[in-house]
Formats: sequence, C-alpha cells, structure tokens
Amino acid sequence: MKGEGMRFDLPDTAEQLRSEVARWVDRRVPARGSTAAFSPDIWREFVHIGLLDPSVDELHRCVGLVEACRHGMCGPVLEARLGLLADPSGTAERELADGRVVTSVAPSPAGATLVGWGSVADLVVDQPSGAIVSREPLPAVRMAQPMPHGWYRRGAAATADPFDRERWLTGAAIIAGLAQGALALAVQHTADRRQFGRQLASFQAVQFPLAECKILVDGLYLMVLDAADRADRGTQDRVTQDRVTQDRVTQDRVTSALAWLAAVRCAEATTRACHQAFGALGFCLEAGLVQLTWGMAWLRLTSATPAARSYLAAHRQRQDHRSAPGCLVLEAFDGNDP
Amino acid sequence: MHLDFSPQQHDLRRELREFLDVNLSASWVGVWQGPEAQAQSDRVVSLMADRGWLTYCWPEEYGGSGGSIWDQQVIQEELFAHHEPRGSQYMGVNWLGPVLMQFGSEEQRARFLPEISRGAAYWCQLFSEPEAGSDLASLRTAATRAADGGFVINGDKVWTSYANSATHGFLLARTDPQAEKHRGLSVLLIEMDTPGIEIREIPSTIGWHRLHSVRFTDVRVPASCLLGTLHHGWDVAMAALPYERVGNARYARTTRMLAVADAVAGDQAGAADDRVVDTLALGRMAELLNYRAAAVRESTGLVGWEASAAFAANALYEQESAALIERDVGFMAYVASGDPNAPADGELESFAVRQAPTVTIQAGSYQVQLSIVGQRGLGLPRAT
Repeated sequence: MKGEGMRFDLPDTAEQLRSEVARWVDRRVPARGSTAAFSPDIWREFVHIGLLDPSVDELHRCVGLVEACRHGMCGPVLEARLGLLADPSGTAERELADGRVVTSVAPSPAGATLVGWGSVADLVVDQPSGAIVSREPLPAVRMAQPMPHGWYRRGAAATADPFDRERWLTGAAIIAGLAQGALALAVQHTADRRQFGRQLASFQAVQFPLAECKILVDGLYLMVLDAADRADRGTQDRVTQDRVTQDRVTQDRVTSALAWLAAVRCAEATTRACHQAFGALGFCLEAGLVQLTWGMAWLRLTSATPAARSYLAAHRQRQDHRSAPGCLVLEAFDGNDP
Repeated sequence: MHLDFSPQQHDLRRELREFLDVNLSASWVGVWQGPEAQAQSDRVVSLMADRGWLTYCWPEEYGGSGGSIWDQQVIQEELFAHHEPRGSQYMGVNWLGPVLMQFGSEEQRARFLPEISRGAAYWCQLFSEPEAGSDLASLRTAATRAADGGFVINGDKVWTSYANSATHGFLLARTDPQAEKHRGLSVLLIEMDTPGIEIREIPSTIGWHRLHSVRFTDVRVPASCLLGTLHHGWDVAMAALPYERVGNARYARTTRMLAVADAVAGDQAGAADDRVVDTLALGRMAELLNYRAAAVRESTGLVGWEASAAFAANALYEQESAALIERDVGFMAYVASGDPNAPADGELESFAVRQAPTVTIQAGSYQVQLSIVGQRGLGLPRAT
C-alpha cells in the first residue's frame, strides 16, 4: 500500500473512558421514567468522572460527554465547562470539585437572561467577564417540563464571546449524545409498539425518517471527534506557534463551528422524527424523550448559532479561477482570525 | 483518530489538479455533452492510463500501482469534482474491477482487468428493466442455456448509461425461471457488438446519450461469459452495488460547485452566506461519512451499510446545494454549456439541472439507501 490513510479508531484511553462512562450512565442515569428536575447526587458523580477538568484534552472530553448525555444532561454540563474557563480565580473549579453546582451566564443583551440550572446553582459565573455574579440559586424559570433553569438580570449588554470554539464543540458533543439517546429510544419504541398487527418499525414511513436521523447522528459524531482532535493538535502546536498560524493549519475553530451547525440540524431532525415515531407518549415524562429533546432545544436555541454562521461566513475564501476552487469543505475556509 | 490525508496524498491531489487544469478544456462539463466530450474523455483516460493513474489503487498483478484506498479517495474526489472525465471508465475502475477480482475466473481476470487498466474497455451496467427498477430481483430478461453450453439472451434493459460507447456489458439475467425471485439469476459479461443487441437512445434533459434502452433478441454468448456461479448472480450484483456507492465522490463536485456558484453570483452571494455555511456543514458531514465507509472497506475488505449512509448524505448535500444555486443564479442556472452566456461555461447547469436532480435515483434509489441504513445500521425489521 502506498499511502497511509485516515484513522477512525479511538485511542485506547478514550475507548476505556467511553466504556466507563457508558457503564455509569446505564447504571445511574435513568433512561426513562424520571420526573425529577435535578439530582445533586448524580451531578456530583458526573463531575467526579472528570470530563469538565480543564486538563482533559478535547477528544477524551467529547467522547465522554457524548456517552454521558445519552440519557439526558444531568446538570449544567456546558455552562459549568464555560464557567470554569471564564473564572480566572479558580473559585469555580474548587466549588465544582466540592460537588457544588456551578453554572454560568452566556453573553446576552441587557435584561432578563436565561441561565441553565440557575435555580439549583451554588455559584454563577459570568462568561464574558469571568466575574462571579451569584452564590445562591437564581429565581426559577416557569416551564412545562421540569428543567431547573434560572433568571439573571444583566445590567448592560455583554455580547462578546471569548469561548466560541469551546461552546460550539462542547455543545455539539452534548447534542450528539442527546440525539443518540433520542434515536435509541425511538427505535426501541417502534420495535415494542404494534399497530395494524405489526411492529411500527416495519413500516417504511417510520423507518425512513429514523434512518435519516441515523445518518445525521453518525455524521455529527464524526464531526465532533474530528474537531476535538484538531483542537487538541492546535493546543499542542500553539506552544511553539502563534494561534493565527495554527488555526490555519488545524482549522479547529472552523471544524468546531461546522460541527455546531451540523448539531443544530441533527437536533432539529432528530427531535421531529423521534417525536413523530413516539406519538403522544413522546410528550409524557415517563417516556424519557422530552428530557432529551428539550435538552437539545436548550442548547440549539440558546447557544451561538448566529456567531458560528458569522465566523464561517467571514472565513470563506472566494476564488474566481475556473479550476481554483477546491473540492473539500475545509478548503473553502482560511481558518484565520478576522 | 486522525482524519487528514497524508502529505503524499496532498501531493497526489496537487498533481491531479494540475493535470486536469492542463488537459480539460474550459467547456468541459462532463461526458454527456456530445461526441466531442466523449473524445476529450478518451484522451484524458489515455493520458491517465499512461501515468498509471487509471487503476492506481489496484494490485500490481492486475495492472495497478498498489495505491491505498485513501489514494483512491483522492483520485475519485478530484475527478468527480471535475465532472468525472473518465466517463464510463470510472465503473471499470471502481466497481467492475473489484467485482471481477472477487468473482472472476483466472481467464476472466487475465482478459478484462488489463483492458480496464489500459482504458481500452468501455463497460455498461445492464440491470434495470421496464418492470424491474428498485425491485431489481423481479427482472425478466432470460438467459437460456443453449445446446453448446452457452446462453441465448432475450429481453429488455432500460436506463442504461454509456450503452452507446460500451464495448462490454455487465448483464444480470434470469437463468432459472423456475427458481424464486432472488435465485436463478446470473451475471454474464457480454460483448456489446454481439448480433441481436439493439441500442436506442432515450432522449432526456439530463444529457446526450445519457439513457438508453437495450433490447436482446436471441443473442448468443459463450459459457465463458458467466461471472461467478450459475444462478447466484444476485450475490454478484449485490457485491457490485455497494462498490458503486462508495466509489462516487459526489460530495467533492458539490463543494466545488458551491464555490463556482459563489464566484458567479459575486456580490449577491453575501446575503446567502448564512445558508451556504449551513450547507457546507452538511458537506463536511457527507465527507466524513464517505471516509468512514472507506475505512470500513479498508479494515474489513467489504463495503457495508455505511456506504449507503454516505451515499444518502451525498444526496442530501447535493440537492440542498443545487437549490441554493437555483436561488442565487435563478433560471440562468438552466443555460447549458455551448451557450456563450452560460454561467461558469455551463458547469452550474450540468450540476444543478442534470446531475443533482437524479442523485436520489442512482445506484439504488434514496429510499433503498434508507432501507439499508434502517435495517442494517439501526437493526429495524425488514419492511413489508
């Protein structure tokens, strides 16, 4: 063989981590039937797995997060990750290590701002400034499904996002896990449920949308792993090279932004198809589906989709020469900072 | 986990681009534009064969250079992105060759594989029939055993691409009419100038001599035409189809066409950037799903359901991109190569009007791909 190829296999350590997290999820996080808004015990166990530890590389973190979120988010996974990055004092890291609930406020206009798991939080960090803005739970948001989000009133607008790449990549990994979980529930339901004397799953009208979800879910998972690997390579190489140069080489922000946009597409399609397959039962808490689809909605509707689009649009390269345009997606972007 | 091509593969890609830049005319938009396009394809194929690129990834014993699946991926991407200048030769390289290596006798391999490697043989696939499309196993074309051990073929094939230029045909026919649907089929490797074969173009909007019907009337072929085991042709055909799916780097052409469309639309494209980047995210997904299918093939030697997932993703990406092009370029997207006002010398027309609308009915319909993904990828039961 002349040319070595791409490698899709995970490092042994990542495979081991994936297996360990999968066992924990299957043992401790109910796949269905839970009506509890939040379990501090399960959150503490999740934190102690170490996926939010800043020293963990992105590939291991993402592999773990995908598994950890198959049965739903057990707490402010994305918000805690970004809060740790934002807080320069190390307070958030210490509080989290002590088993407390650390969440954070995303960049937003002035006024009432939604904060994930804010109503059960022990510590709230402002992402743009890194300031600790609350040491007690925030007022609860009223919602049809028990999600313990809270309200924070921002005085002045704060729209700059210092952690866009981390937000896109971590968010995409979580959605990959939630979407995998939703699809698994829907597949199981269509195998169990019989109508017209046969399994729902035997109808093509049921199979096709689920197969389309499988394509999107698998594709998103690959995009997450690819972006995580590039982020790790970028981090390693930036020791000796400036960020602009390295972004051009690894394209970690481009691939993270693309993964995020794919995650939004996947979340929308999976939510639609899985609820359709489940029927009315899908909207009942006992089925476990809404916990996953609402989790996806929380991420896709509150995270920075416009920022990802703007970043990618700003980095598209345009060439006029007939043969110049490349045929690979990453060739369409320069990867430089604006 | 490392999803980049190697530096050597980047070099190969660069070489290919330079080669295509030099050897394809500005008006080249694919082989289905007329006799001149076919002649241009023949020249490029000959030059590629001289460089050893035509079957670069085949084993050396069959005229290849021993390149890897990943080298082949680079070649497929660059050629497909430039409207597949190999024409029908891509079939010989991508799926006929591997199937002949898997099922062919020593004599068949010695005869056909070097011909393909030299670019001297043109093949067409004779599967679909008027009453057997997605339901391929219901085909009726009969190959009856003759007294001399050969076969006498009678029946009709349809939607056959490249039949006008083909020297050989890969024919799926019924050799045992008593057997149940998927049994009693055989693959025959026939010469297309055999008496009794009648080829007729079916005029269409998707290209000059793109579609044909092929009638067989008492066509006599020798026993040596049989590929694989008699009455077990379904296994051969099912081995061939996944190779066809995994060999089509359609996503590469789509990505290049989005860039071409961007250049054509110029300043107007600024407003479209939001949707374009969403579509490019889908394109990156299609790329990685295709690479996964290649990795599965590399590690197992087989083409699995992952090829169907990749092909379906290609289809979604291609049709979403074509819709974007229509939106940005308007009806000018329908102006074809040869018209002096055609955008990008007709490249956009070839892609958005001739190719993209048909992606969901090629190499098995989109629904067939979804059935394969659902049943083999998700474990859903066979639909009834």
